[in-house]
Amino acid sequence: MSPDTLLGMLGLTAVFAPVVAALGLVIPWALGGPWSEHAVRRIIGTTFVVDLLGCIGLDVLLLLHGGESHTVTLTHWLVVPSYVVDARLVFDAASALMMTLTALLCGLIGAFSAPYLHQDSGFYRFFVLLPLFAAGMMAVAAGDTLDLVYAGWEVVGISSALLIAYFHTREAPVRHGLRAFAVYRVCDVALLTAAVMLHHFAGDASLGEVPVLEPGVGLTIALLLVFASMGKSAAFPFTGWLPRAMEGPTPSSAIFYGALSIHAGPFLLIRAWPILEGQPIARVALFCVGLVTALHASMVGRVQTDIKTSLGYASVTQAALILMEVSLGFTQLALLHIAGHAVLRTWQLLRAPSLLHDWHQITGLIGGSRPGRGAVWERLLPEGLRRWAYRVALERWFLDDLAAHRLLGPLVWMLRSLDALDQRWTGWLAGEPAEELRAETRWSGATSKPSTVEGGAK
Amino acid sequence: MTREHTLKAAVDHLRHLVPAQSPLDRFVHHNPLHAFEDLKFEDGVLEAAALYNNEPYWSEEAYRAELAKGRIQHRDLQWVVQREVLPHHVAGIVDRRVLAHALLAHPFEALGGEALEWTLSETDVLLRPRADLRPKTYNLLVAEAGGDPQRAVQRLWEACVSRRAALPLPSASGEAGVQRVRDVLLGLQGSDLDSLVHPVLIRWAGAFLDHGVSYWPMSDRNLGFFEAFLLHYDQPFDVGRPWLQTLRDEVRRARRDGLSASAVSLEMLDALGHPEAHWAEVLERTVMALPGWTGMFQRLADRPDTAPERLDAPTDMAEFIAVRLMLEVSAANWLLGDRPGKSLLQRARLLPDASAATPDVDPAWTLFQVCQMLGISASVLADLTDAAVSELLVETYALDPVRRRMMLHTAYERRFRVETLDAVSAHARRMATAPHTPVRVQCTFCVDDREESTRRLLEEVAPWIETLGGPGSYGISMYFQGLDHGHPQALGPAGFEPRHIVVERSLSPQPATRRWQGLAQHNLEVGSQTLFRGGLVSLGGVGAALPMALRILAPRLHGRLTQRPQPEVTELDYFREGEERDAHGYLRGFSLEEQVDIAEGSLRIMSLVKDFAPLVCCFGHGSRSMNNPHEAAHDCGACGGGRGGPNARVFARFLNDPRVKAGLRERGIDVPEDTWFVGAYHNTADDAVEWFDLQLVPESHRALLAETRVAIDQMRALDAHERCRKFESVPLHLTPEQALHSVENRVEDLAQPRPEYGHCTDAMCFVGRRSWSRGLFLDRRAFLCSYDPECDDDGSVLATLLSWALPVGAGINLEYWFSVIDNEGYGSGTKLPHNITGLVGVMNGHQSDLRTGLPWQMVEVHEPVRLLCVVEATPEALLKVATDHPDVGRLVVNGWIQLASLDARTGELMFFEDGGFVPWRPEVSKIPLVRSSREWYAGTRGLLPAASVVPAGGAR
Repeated sequence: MSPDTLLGMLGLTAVFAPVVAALGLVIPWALGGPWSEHAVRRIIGTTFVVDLLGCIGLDVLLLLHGGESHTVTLTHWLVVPSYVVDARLVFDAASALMMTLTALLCGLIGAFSAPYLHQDSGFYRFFVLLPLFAAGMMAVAAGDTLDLVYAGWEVVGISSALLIAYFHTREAPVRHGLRAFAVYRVCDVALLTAAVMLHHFAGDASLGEVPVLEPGVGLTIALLLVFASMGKSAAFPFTGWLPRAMEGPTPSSAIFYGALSIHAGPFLLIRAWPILEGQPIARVALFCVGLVTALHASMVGRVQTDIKTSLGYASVTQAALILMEVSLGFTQLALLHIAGHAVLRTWQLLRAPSLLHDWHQITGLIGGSRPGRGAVWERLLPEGLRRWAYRVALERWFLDDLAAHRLLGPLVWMLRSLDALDQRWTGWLAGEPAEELRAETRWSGATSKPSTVEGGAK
Repeated sequence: MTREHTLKAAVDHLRHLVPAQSPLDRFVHHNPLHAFEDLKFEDGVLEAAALYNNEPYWSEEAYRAELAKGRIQHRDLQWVVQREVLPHHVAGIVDRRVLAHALLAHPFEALGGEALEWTLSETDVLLRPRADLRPKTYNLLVAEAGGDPQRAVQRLWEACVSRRAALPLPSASGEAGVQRVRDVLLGLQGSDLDSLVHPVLIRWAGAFLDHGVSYWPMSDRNLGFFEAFLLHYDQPFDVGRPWLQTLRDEVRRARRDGLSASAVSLEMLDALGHPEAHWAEVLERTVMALPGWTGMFQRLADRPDTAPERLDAPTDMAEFIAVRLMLEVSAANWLLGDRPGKSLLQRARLLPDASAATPDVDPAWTLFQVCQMLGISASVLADLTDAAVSELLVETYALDPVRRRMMLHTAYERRFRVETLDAVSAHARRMATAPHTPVRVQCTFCVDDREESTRRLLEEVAPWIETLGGPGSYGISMYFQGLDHGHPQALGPAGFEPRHIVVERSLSPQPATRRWQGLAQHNLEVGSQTLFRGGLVSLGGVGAALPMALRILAPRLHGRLTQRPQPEVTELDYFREGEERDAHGYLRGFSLEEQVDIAEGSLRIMSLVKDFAPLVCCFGHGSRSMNNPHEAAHDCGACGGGRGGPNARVFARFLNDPRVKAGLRERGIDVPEDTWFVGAYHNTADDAVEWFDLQLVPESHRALLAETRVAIDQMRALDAHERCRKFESVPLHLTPEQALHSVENRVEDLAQPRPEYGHCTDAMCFVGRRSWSRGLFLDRRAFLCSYDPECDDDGSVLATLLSWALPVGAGINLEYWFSVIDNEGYGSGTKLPHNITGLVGVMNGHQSDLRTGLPWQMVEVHEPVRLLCVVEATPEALLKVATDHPDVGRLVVNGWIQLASLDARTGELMFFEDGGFVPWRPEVSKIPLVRSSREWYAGTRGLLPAASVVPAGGAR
């Protein structure tokens, strides 16, 4: 067996192991005979051990070959004259790193979640979504064409949203899952458009070799990619969904928003670097997005009083920094940053319920209260401005409210008006008397129900 | 009474009703319905359920599942029906008690409208009679249709329908009561005002109560919540929130006119449009929309010393309510500002009703069901007059679902009571004649139910050890500054603030690196969350992969590797010569006089006043586990939710002092000079035992101590083994050593939401000599207090003991009772999405009310039964205590606990019922006999009935 074949096989093993596990879990479930908790543990364990071994083998072979990239064409999805849609994987340093990270963290989270979710009614659901998510991440990591990346991107999105809404009998998790999903969808449109444009103008959606494009087209595609990356990495002004995603169980919060999902954005841009490289305007835009996000998340994060939100904003801060690194062309640094941050933040989020324990330990070592917290540059502000800034930070720059009242409100109002018009029109056609519109409070005129609903009594 | 007084009275009343849960770190179990203890239990449960909007009991289905399992038996239903229902011949066909029994045993739901239509057309209700009928009843129903079940049922249904017009309807369930503007809006338009108010309110409450999560804390907190909130909102720029537009004007005005919180509250109540007479009720409903946060304001005002850090932030519940009202008015103004009407309430009431009407209940359906349960066929029904049928229905309605649930629950508790009291009686009779083994060592434990197995197993392993139970605080109330404590910990009864402080110091020189290590860890954690430092830290973050993988895959190993080695020897500054005080004004240690007082009180309450063994081991207890915000709930209740090791240690030091022994001798307690006391600490989560001050043990006692330690180590493994059977995730075939390994792994496991089950399943409290309860397998469900009536001539010890033990035991028991009855309401739901906020409490996910009560994983195997207390004392003595101590009296008389008096020589029991003691008549007089605890529980998971454990040879 030639090293090339071996490398390809290892890579394929790593990519397809989670797919097989997800199918192996879903099919018996759908047929009405789900596995026992014990069997699920076995399946998940085996899958990620195999997955990780595949990734490590891949890493070793790549190192031996000096990091040279290898592509494997799975199939030609569609072939018409002068137009090919390929499903093609690439194994190089970047994809190997992301794949290893995915296998390692998903495996550890799987091991963590088995006792954590023991006897919970959503146990099975969680362990169907986990390998599904891993499969999505593998496609994003190893996809050589934008089509394949997009497929993975969507799988990551839907599994994230479903895990946020894990406790689906309560209102807030479902609402917040939907919110994340909506943000993802808005940004996914950009990714899809970019893929279509690439096909149209370059004849292929390959990320590896990009032919020279017309300046306007190249810029548009680059900007679309930047926009696409903003949703998943919770960049400004989409940050609001991320703290709300903490509704899920702790391990899923850790892996999605601390580790992998949030880095899918910058990773996409690293993959698409050949497209982005020659587009200074797009890179400046990316830098600005990163900068504003970093300032926003760092300022908002420092006033948060619950541990998970606090860590959520800390994640966004670093993801924003990584976006800035990418915009400056430091893709190697960005990859290192992604790996380090993903591991660190997962670890911190998993330990979040130990906060009091850690607090005892630290104060015990110090032998008293911790040294004065925060307020480094805050102290320099005059009193009034400081209070104002504190409030702006605590209210998260009013982003949620702007979205609810200034963006969604008018949108809902418009849709309702159209709906009412439509009903009258069909009523008139059917010869029915015009129905009185329900008298409504200002509320239902502005937003059907405020999208900031949270913190009900229970 | 002025308006101010009305407001103040209403708020003050609420101070007793909001949850009184301390910050997480100082979690102490208490009765969540403490404020209702003046009522009969059954009434208190209903009132509280209405106030807090919680469930009073389990659902009927839950109880019927217990009936199907045999956990409730039909004779229990008969008993409860006899007790609750007066006999009466209903409609000339059936006795009222028979009807009641039928309604309790058969599930049925009052239906009407579309739900009924669906049931009739889509289920088999018109194809055959109910499936749960007894054959006799079934035959009565189908006989007249020639045995054709379908025809019989259809004819019956038609007969019921034909009478529909003549049937009475159930009376409407109560009036709506006083409504908030929010309730009106929600009812009419389905929009929830609170969903606007709460996000803002929770954020500010969280910021104000934050004890050290945020990097940038809120300023001006020393002014109180109200002032601080005004200061922060008296700033320009509020782009996002149209609904807060009027708030800023209000804030400005309040600041300009220097209005107090209560003045603003009055104005807001006026703006909302509530008349003064309704304030109490309106505020009640308002506060109960967010009881957790409101309660934390009150709790920190009552007991500022329970806060993790002392902050200069006075928490006044009234101020929190004032801010809340301001936000409510602002939101309501935005919604209703341009609508006609004077006050906001009026405007809301004038809105059109867009809610869906609730369907009526069809009385024919109810009749149809009742007829089936009673075996009344169509032809029998046809013979009844309209008046008779109406009476039947009225009687049925009288037994409404809540009353049925109450009766089912009473039956559920009765089964447990019967089995337990019968077992106690039989076991006491057996033990009265058992031979005694000479006692060589005495071990004292906390009365805690988790030490029940510890004590039983220790006596099984080493029959020469006698165990005793007393308060785990050993009568000591102190602040303890341990070597690895950042702040002094209060260790002592929850109700009191300690006056003394005891400091632990190392005898070996302390490396100066400790402080640096702490600062480094702190800076790493804070830094990792900021922008630039966070960037640097994350670049090296891959290094976290190793500890993470190790911690997840091999928790016990990780724990061993990261634990700091204990400093070899430490000393306590516990002896005070003069009146030295520390910087906070606490007395540094205890004077000789105080030591003798404490020693005497503690020995007397355990009835350990004679027959001292040469070695007495005193155990305190606590629990350590990872990733568990409710960790402190597993600590010692007698120590106010702290870890009781230091108390046992200090107590042993007292008793080893010849001067203290001399003082005790003067007071009539002769502790021999050659009796040595050793302090120890039992970790109930991993069954580890830590021994204190071993270097002080005299040579003469070392051999005996070594022997004792061997027995204790054997006990630890057996105890772990017995505990493991209740953990679903641990296989049943482990050996005791493997089980010990398993629990050690468990406490270090970040992913383990059930490190231990704590007080879960606790149900009994025994007070008396060990001689009659020794060897009784109680499945870790009983508080065991040592008490010897022969050493208590005037009943003073009994009074002290019961007035301490019963309220504490009831508090623990009732907290579990309510948390398992309504886990989302009284409890805090599943702990998986819990999110620690401000170091004081947990929220669900990203933002919610502070969750109080116990999480599901702590109570899932609990059986809600009120504490069954068996006291070795005469009924007269017990009644005297109940009369003299209202705290105890109301618990007993109002039925918050159950009380029985035991005569240990005869095994006869008297049970307190309806205001007096009545003799207990056992259903069975035998109790199973086994050779070891393990033999009894082997291979089982669920709760087990009591059994006599008498080791082979029968030596005692």
